[in-house]
Amino acid sequence: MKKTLIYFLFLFPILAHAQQQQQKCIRILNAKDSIGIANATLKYNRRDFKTDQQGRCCLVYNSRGVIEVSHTGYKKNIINIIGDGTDTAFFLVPDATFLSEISVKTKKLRSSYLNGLNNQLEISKSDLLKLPSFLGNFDLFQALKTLPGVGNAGEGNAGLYVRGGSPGQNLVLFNNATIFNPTHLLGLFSVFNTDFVQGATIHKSGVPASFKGRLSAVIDVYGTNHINSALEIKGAISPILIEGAIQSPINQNWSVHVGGRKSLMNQTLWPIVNLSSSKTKIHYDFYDLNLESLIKLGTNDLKVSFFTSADDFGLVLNNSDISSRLYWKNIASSIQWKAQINEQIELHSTVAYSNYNFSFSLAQIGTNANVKSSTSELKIESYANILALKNKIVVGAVVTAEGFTPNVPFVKTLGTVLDFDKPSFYNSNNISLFTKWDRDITAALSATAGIRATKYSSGQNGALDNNYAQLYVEPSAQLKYKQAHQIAFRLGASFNKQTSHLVSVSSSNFPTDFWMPATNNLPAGKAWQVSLGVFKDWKMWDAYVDVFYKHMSGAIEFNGGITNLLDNLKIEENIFGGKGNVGGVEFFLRKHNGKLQGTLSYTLSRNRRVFDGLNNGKSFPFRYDRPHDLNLTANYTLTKKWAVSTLFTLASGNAYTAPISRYVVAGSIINEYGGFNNSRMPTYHRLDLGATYKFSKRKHSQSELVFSVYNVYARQNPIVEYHEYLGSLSTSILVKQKNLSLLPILPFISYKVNFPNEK
Amino acid sequence: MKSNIIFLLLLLLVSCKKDVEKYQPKFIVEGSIEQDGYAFVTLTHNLPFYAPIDSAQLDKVVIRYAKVTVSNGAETEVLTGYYDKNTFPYFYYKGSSLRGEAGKKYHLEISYAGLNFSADTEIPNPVSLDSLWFEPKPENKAQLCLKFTDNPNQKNYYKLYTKGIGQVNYIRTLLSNQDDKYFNGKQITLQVNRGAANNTTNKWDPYFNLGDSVSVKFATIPKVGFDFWSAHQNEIVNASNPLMSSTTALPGNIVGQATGIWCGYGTVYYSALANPRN
Repeated sequence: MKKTLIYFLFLFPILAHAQQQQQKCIRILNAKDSIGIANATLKYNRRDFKTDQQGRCCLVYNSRGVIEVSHTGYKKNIINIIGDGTDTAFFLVPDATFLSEISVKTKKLRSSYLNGLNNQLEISKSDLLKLPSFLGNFDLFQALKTLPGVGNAGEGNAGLYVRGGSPGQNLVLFNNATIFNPTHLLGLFSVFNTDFVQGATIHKSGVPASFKGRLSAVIDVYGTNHINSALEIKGAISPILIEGAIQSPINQNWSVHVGGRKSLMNQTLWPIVNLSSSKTKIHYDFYDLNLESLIKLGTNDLKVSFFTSADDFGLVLNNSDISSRLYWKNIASSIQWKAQINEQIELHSTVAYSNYNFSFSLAQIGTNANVKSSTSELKIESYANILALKNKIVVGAVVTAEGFTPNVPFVKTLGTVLDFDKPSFYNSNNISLFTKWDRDITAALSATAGIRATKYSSGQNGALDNNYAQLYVEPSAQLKYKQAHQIAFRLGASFNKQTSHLVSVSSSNFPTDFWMPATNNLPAGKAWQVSLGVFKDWKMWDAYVDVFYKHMSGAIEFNGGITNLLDNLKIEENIFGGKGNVGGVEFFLRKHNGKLQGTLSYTLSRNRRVFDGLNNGKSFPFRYDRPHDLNLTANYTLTKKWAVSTLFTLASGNAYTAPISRYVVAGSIINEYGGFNNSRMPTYHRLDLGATYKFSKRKHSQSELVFSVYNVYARQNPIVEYHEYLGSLSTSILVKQKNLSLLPILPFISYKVNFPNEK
Repeated sequence: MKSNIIFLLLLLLVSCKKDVEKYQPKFIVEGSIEQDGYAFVTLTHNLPFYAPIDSAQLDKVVIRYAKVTVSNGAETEVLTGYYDKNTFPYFYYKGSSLRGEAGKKYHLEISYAGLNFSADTEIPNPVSLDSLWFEPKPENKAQLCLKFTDNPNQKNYYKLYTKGIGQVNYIRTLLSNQDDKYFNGKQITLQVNRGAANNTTNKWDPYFNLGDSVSVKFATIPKVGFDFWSAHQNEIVNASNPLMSSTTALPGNIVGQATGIWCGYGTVYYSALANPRN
């Protein structure tokens, strides 16, 4: 397999020189504000081309011809090509009837299936707004979970389990800076403030060579890419959350966008909850802050982005005076610079810094215990997009330096500080070179090939004797064949390495999980994947079926619970590696036009693991093995004021290790467990509804009420089943089966207001 | 072609059916020998998971006709069976001549229905407390605190029990098991929270009533005992924990088709009144 890929890469330049035609690059701009229009369709010689995020599109043409430019939301335009005319920018006039926020982008997703050569899915802000909100929040991760191949992990788990991977096998980027823990509220929703999300691209397989290797997926979230021409102020309030944002141009070439969200639960929710329980006292609040600024200097675009979020959760057990606190904080900041060197070459450079801190502390008067973890990353990246005839080439280099302080315990009990040795500090460096080619081989057949070479090294406590240095090569290739009648086939294969591991302490996606670099004792993870898909486009609908198979090695499991967290002296000894095999078929059907829109996705898959240290080395299902995963979403625009939406989700229950017998030791009933993950929790299903009422537009403001009902029929989706015993062994014991489910029916309302200052 | 697809789909559906694991009978040994004490052993059987836990069922799992032998290499004693309807198991095996001595090794041998189980343990040297006292708590309660000094030249595992008014047996405290690797050679102070008697009661108070007479048992145990009792504690605390549930077998030291523990205890006993100093 690897050999074929290499041959394929060598063949590329030869193919590139086989044709001699002229190339023209065109920018399609909005006539109103001269901002590039992304995803506009250019029809030339019965073929469709799409503009990129900046409204650019390059095509090879003969000497004469007509290009038809169209985009939902704009009036159609016809461009006459005469010779090698010098005009390269063309304008589209907005179509007033399409100016509502949602419909402008309706065609965006559609375009990515048939025209994008990459194996990726796009989700835009407008897609988020089409789903019911969760506690007034239109959540990016919730939307991603409606896509096929992205597993629903059950109640209260925002982690994304993409094609059988775990959340730690995803690379989550925000404006090209890594976010190490993208969740709020113990994992109930993501840290992304929809106001600052223009869209997200998710790569489930064949991850482009420009991204750092991960075994599962890359979720590339990006903010706005254009300079706002008018001041805009937004705000929203709900019983648990307040948020606000201001977006303002400083001048024609410079704009700033600042905003934040802060939960109000310590004022609204917890006082009520705490009143009803004398045993416990809870406090929990979180916030996030976003700042982004865009500067345009001639042909240079500069974008500065800063993001931070933190969660603070405290629990006091009154009858034993024990108080515990979980606190975690993310920072992700980046400076992105895009330079248009000439029509053919575009240079992208990024400097990004990310940091994640976690602490868990426990105190009883006189005794303090805590565990802290942190991870940081500095990344410097530069790559060029080169257009050369029918080739689109990306060449780049990236250096990342990461630091890890995993799981440092501290215990002080009445003056005595317990001895845990010196904390282990790890650092690692990745130096990568990458290149990627996109090329049309014939009018119907196109190919992408990429390769990334990484020199990886890691060490412990700065000591060289623990040095671990490796050279990794990650190839990927895709072939795409587009038939008439809007049918396309795609074949993809890729091989990836992952040089940092998320050590999962709990069975959920929980902030206690910490990052570790690959070391001698904990080698890098590897995965290869092949997929074959068929894509079909109709006027109102589109659909696809994608079959995939993935093999992973170096997947990790942590052999310990939170009680073992303190016992961190040799983390590597408590982690064991294994293999995973995932295969499945994804079905997706979408109606992307009209008053009623919606999606139906279904994934049939199997996900098994083999670990020497688990289940006697026999294969067992992954905890989040999802034989069946179904999602149905729909939204309907009733009137100009009312829009309603719904989401139904159904998935096989989590696999878990169930007891098979009981015995008594020291008067307590102890479970004896059967095979690892030998049982299933009940099937997960849930229905959500949402509605938005837009008030009539005032002179300076536009406001709306967002209603949502989470878990409409109050399904109790248990996250754990256990048994409680009550009685005496001398007489009899009452055994009660308990199902712990987190979220009941949750009706919710939130008020949003927007002050657009239209000049 | 069509029938092939249907067949494949059926196959998928069939393969999705879960395999229900069968209950396998197993013996459970719980044995102890304390310094200056006699060996005490119980032998029981496991219960199928869905069997009711009542006196009829529990009666069936207590093994009464086993031959239980303990030896220290020089001396061997066959333990005598006793019946006591107030405790579980109702039947236990107890020694009366071979006394435990610190620093000595003890071998356990059980024969029952043609099966043999055996185990070895040692009684570690006991460690004395430096002091114990009570701290006042609201609602006329007092918390037990104690201080001891770890031997820097010895690997130690400790286990702590308390007994309050009205309790027949010593009950392990909330965090009963301690490993000296975090405080090797240091003097350490512990604030003790009492533990629940077992996981079939919801009665639990971490403190003592003011003025109560309190007994404390402070024991040193071998590593295998520490591992077993830590796993036992983890199972009780985390069996219902959604985030990190306990799913592993208790790591005992019984050789043969049985699980459980044969553990030596280097014990020191104390008693005091729950009266805070000021």
